[in-house]
Amino acid sequence: MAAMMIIVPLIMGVVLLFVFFGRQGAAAEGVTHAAHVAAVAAAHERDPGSAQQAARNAATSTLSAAGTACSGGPRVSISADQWAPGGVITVTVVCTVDRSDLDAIGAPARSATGTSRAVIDRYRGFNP
Amino acid sequence: MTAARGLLRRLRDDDRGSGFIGAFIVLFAVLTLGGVGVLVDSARIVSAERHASSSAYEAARAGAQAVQVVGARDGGGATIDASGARAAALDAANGLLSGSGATVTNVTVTADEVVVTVSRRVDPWFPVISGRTVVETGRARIVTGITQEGQ
Repeated sequence: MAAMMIIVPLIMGVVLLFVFFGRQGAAAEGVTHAAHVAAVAAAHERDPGSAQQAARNAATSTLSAAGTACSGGPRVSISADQWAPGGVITVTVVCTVDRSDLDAIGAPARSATGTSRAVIDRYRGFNP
Repeated sequence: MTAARGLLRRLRDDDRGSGFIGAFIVLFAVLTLGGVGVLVDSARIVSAERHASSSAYEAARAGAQAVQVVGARDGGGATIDASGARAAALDAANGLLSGSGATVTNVTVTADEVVVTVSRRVDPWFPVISGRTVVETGRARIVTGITQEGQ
């Protein structure tokens, strides 16, 4: 009986631990993918303002479509070495993985970061 | 806390099956660590694959933009300037891959297509699954005649 009192909570804790690491891994893959989609979306716009807006929208909707819940929403930062044809746009997506249902094992707040870059088309109308 | 202490006292005073518990906990800890190792490292490999494939695709797209301007202007259709495309793809790949530990292993340029291969070594954090080199290919083809967006 004493053995069961240790083993059962232990097994439950381990299941939650696997859920935590699995979710962490899925989020790491999700933010990399979202960053790529966002960078391509930004590279297809014609001015920096709408490029940033497009990147933000693309990253947010890609993450939510993949079912990755970020507490406080994903944070998207967009920069470019030059906002001109041939420039490289860098998009970084940071997601603090939601762990509200894993309080039982005291899961630490971990964030997943994904970075991707895309080149602005060289033969393209672009207003810097 | 008192409940936990009471549980501990009961466990200490009761030594039936204690050998079983000891063996169980050791086995359990090893299996748990192994499981976590598989989860974490396989996620890192998938993430590296995703990053390598998107970088390869972007580098190929950058390379395919090196068109033969003279031929296109004379109405001969757009073809890829082979050396320019190779340089553009490598240049773009340099910017795209910097700091990620990935390298471009191959760039193939044909008349209308650029193929870029990117590889990246992933070493595991846990000694459960072996390290591997992920290899991803991205290809971009040159297309003319797209005169408007949408539809």
